[in-house]
Amino acid sequence: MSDDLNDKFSKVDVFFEMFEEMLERQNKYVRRLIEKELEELKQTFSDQHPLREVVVPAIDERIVKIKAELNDVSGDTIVKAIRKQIKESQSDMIDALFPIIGKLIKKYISVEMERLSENINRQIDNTFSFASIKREFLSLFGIKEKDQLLKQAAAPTIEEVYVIYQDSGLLLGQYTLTDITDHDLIAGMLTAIKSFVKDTFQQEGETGDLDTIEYGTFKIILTNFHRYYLVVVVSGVVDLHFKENVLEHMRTFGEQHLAELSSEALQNKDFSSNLKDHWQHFKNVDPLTKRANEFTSHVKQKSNFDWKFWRW
Amino acid sequence: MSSQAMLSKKVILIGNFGVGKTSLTERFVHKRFSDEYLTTLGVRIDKKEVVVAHTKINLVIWDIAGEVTQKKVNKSYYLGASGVIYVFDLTRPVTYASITAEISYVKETLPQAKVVLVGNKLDLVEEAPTVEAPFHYHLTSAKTGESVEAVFQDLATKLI
Repeated sequence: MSDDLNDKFSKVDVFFEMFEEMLERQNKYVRRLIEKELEELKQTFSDQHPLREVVVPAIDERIVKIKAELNDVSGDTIVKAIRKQIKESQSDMIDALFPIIGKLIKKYISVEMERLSENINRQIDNTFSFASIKREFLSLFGIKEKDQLLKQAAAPTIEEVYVIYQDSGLLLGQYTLTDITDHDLIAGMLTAIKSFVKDTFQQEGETGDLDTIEYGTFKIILTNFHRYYLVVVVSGVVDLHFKENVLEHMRTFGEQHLAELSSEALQNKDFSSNLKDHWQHFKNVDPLTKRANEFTSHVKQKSNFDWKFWRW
Repeated sequence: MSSQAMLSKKVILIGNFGVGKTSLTERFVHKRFSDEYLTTLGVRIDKKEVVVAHTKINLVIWDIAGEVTQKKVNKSYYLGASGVIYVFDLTRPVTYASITAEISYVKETLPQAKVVLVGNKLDLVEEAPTVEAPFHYHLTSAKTGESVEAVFQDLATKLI
């Protein structure tokens, strides 16, 4: 090998050494940079507060964006899906909703009819006074025919009548138009409810008692007679006049059949046939007819004397 | 009340909480109202017709809720009762510890009523404990039905 070649090799060696040294420096520099970056990251993660400041607003912003997107996209989708479902299964929807809505409508109509009926009666009372009978007897005083027809259409019906022994709650007779649950159990439960209400709500010195229970379009009217009580279950629109008539009818029954009964020995008497006789012909006397009857009776009483006078 | 005339009698079931009053009536009756009444009104009414010596008796049974008869039971539920079934639990002495006092109270409240004592949950004891009771008591198991019918028959017999 010549000296020239040796010289060239030695120069290459020097170059490599320099290159190696340069790479080493570069490595050191990069390592320092990485270490610095790592240190900064460590610092960022170890200190939660600055991280929270960065992350939380970003998450909030994202949530708001998602909500807005949901409202825009999913809201429409959901509404469309519900509409489609309703359209495709209308009968199912009706089956599901009818019992609830039906009851509400029935109750609403019942209450409204009751109000209407009360208004009509009030109108009759206001206009058909005893003093004005002579003057306006043949007219209906502004009571429209349709109102009268409406009132007739919603006429209340007596569904059940019970005579119950107050203390024991034993049923002593019933007049019934419907085939409902065992009447003995109903009599017992009504007595328990009556006692419960009395014991719970009665205040010192008070002698009141439960007199009406309402359930949907049913009204249960209760009246005490000595050691017994009468229960009348009515369906339909029950206005004050009807209730008064029922109470009057109950009182008559009580006076005719229960007044003298106070002995334990009569506890098991069956009043069913008496109830049937008494209640099957029950008629709701409307206030107009009632007033007219009172007037007729009054005139009749007066005219008895006058007629004799005039005949004479 | 059925169309055929028959005696109707109110019977009340009393005793401490958890002695098995409701289970006894469930074993016995045909017709009953929901248990909800027991928690809301404190009473549930059941009915059973029994025949004693060719006489039909309509027992209307008031299952009265309450821990101790003298203190917590609605007294108006006692009114007019012809028969009383006092139930105690054979596995819990506390339910029959004051039985004599309880029965005295019942007798004071309902002097005319016929009272039957019942030691229930016989299926849970190997040997029935001796209970200091004012008179004979029935041993029953509402679970197996043992002697349940006999309790009501015994009371019905006393009622006619």
